[in-house]
Amino acid sequence: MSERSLLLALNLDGAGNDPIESASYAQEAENAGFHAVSFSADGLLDAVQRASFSAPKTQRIALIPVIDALFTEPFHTATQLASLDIISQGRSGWILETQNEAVQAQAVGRETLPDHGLSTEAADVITTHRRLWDSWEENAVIRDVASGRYLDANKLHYADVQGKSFSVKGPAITPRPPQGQLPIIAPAPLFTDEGLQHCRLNGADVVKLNGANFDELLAQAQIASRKGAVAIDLDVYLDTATETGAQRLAAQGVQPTERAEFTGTPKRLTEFLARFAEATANPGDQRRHLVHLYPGDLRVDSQVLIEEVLPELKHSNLLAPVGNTLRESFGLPVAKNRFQEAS
Amino acid sequence: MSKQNQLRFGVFFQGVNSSTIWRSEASGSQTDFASFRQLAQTAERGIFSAFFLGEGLRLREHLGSIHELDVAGRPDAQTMLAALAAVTSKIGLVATQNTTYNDPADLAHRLASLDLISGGRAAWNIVTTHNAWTGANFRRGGYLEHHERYSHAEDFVRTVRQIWEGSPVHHRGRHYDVDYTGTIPASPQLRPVLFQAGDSPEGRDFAARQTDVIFSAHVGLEDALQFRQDINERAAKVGRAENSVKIMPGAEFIIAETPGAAEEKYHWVRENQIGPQQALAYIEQFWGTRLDGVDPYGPLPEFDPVVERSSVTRGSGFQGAKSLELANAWRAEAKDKGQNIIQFVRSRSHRADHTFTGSYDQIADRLAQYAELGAVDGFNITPWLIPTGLDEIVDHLVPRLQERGIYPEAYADTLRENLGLSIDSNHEQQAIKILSTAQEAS
Repeated sequence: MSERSLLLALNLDGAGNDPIESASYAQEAENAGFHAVSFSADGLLDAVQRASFSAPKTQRIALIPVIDALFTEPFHTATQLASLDIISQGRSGWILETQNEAVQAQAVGRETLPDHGLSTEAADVITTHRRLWDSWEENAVIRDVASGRYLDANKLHYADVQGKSFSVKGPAITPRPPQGQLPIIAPAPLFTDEGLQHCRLNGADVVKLNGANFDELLAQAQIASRKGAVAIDLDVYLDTATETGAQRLAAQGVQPTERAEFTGTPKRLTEFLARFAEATANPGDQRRHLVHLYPGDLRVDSQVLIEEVLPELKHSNLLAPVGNTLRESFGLPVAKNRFQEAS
Repeated sequence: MSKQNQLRFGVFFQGVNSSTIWRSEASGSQTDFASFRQLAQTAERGIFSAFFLGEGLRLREHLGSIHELDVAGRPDAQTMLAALAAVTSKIGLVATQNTTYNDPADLAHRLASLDLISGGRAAWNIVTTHNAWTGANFRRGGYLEHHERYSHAEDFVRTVRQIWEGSPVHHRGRHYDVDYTGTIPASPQLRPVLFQAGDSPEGRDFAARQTDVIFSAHVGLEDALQFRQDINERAAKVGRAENSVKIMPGAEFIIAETPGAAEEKYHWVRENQIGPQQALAYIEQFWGTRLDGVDPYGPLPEFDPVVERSSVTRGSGFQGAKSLELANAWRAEAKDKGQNIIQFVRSRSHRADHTFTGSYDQIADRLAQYAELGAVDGFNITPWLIPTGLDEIVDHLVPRLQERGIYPEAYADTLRENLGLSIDSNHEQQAIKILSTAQEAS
């Protein structure tokens, strides 16, 4: 297959609080060839639960929740994500956010963090997840009748995370997830200065880039993709036979998001995606890069994507194959267990 | 008490401890989604009201290292139940969740999510662990004293209920502050049903004030009747109607075609639940030392415990006890009954319970007696085999109960209705009033 290929994810928040509708969009996206669907938290039902509800109703597509790393309990989120991976048999990941806002902090009786503290906090939280997910070796459940042991304690490890603002003992209460380590997609600002090193060392897998315009995004993607997998977010308002995306955007009157905004024809979107694939193609590198689409109107835009954009991408051989797991889709190597390696 | 009492069943997928047999060929995965789906769908075929998942937030330890002998490694309760909501349509989905190691706003949000995702089938089984050992997995650590756990839990539950009612919450508490307004609309059953299992006087009062259903430990008929009376008295003191707090004891049903076959099965189950290694481990936690050379088929150790108070298998729910006193009493008891270690441990375990071992007809008759006397509102059944452990109950016992008119023939729409919970009590009316006002305002 071509080295010029990409991964596509579709955000399903537009299905609102109706899990059945949301699952039916996930099925359609799966049939159309999307690699993943995502669920973000804002004001809706719990993102992990929405993803989990869709898991038994789909077979191949990845189900990725957006979860805040600052005002949540790392032990709980690690358990939830591992469980989602178990339920979906290796089809989950984590889009990490740092929602450093007073409303999030006060809900759990805490204070917002100084900006310079975000990177360290997120890195500590990622480390906690990584170590908890490795705390059960894959074959820790031995069911050895002769010795009467269900578990082998030698294959269970304390996570012993000592972060700057918290500590977690471990081991996990859930066995190692099928992917070993779920792909973690984290925003670029966390990767700056010492944050970059800290995060890379402890393994966020995909850096999510932010750019105001498309040229800037592509330029960033080109540079960053040499070092590792990248992701970009796009709001999309696509032209239909009856109205343009720009008209729909104007009619919706929504607040602009931090994401780059695409309005226009399906053909122009396809061209942009081809340019992204071109920019991120690195000879000899099997890693794939993600474009995460936020449809302005899920009902309308997902239809255009499914009927016009994806068939054209397939035809041009620009869609990477859907892996058995999300790690496989990203072209990430099998996740070694840090505790096994050490022993 | 009306003779029309119906019994309801729940199923408790334990996923930890020795109640679940893992040695048998018939024992499937304790972790795979397929096991959960099969058990939940079997339960739904049998019109079970509820599917329960437990929670333990630290892996059990025994004498300072990870406890190896029992089933462990559960998926997260609410994540699993959300997936089960997609492959079932009527059964209630009950998540055990801790008031000490969660934030009220986050937990309220997730439980309300599960309630809406399942179309009004969610419940919260409230637990109140408080030790620093479990706290080591959390940001807040082990901040709570034993004596504070119920006052804290009640504070927490009130906050969660306020969030569900839709009103802005500005809570300043001894252990946490919350400024939060819920964003999730109410489900068809208004809010998740509340279960609780505490058995101390404080726990019972807490249940009488705050919960809909008690997941009790009182299985025997006399015991169950006394417990019912006690709860009714406590509930009356806080203005709740008789029997408005539902009671569902945890139970194991070991049933077969004939009494003889059931008895045989009983022995098979107990032998597999508590093998020689588990029996020794049980004694070890009170003796405070490994008993590697000790014969599980011989008498209790003659030497005395090496600790003053039992170290206990952490996370098992046992309280510490004075070791020497206990050792002396146990040695005397075992000698008196002619029991070796393994026999003694099996007899002491709550798994010695024999109440619901019998033929299909015997057990149906016994249950009819519970229904007639109004001793309980149902049972929360722990299957000893995953995922097939409910098959016989659904295929053979449920139809016999339906013939006797003491078991539902069909589902209602929500868990609340399936449990026979009315919303005519004062505080529920109040809650509905607040909720509808909030909804009108928004």
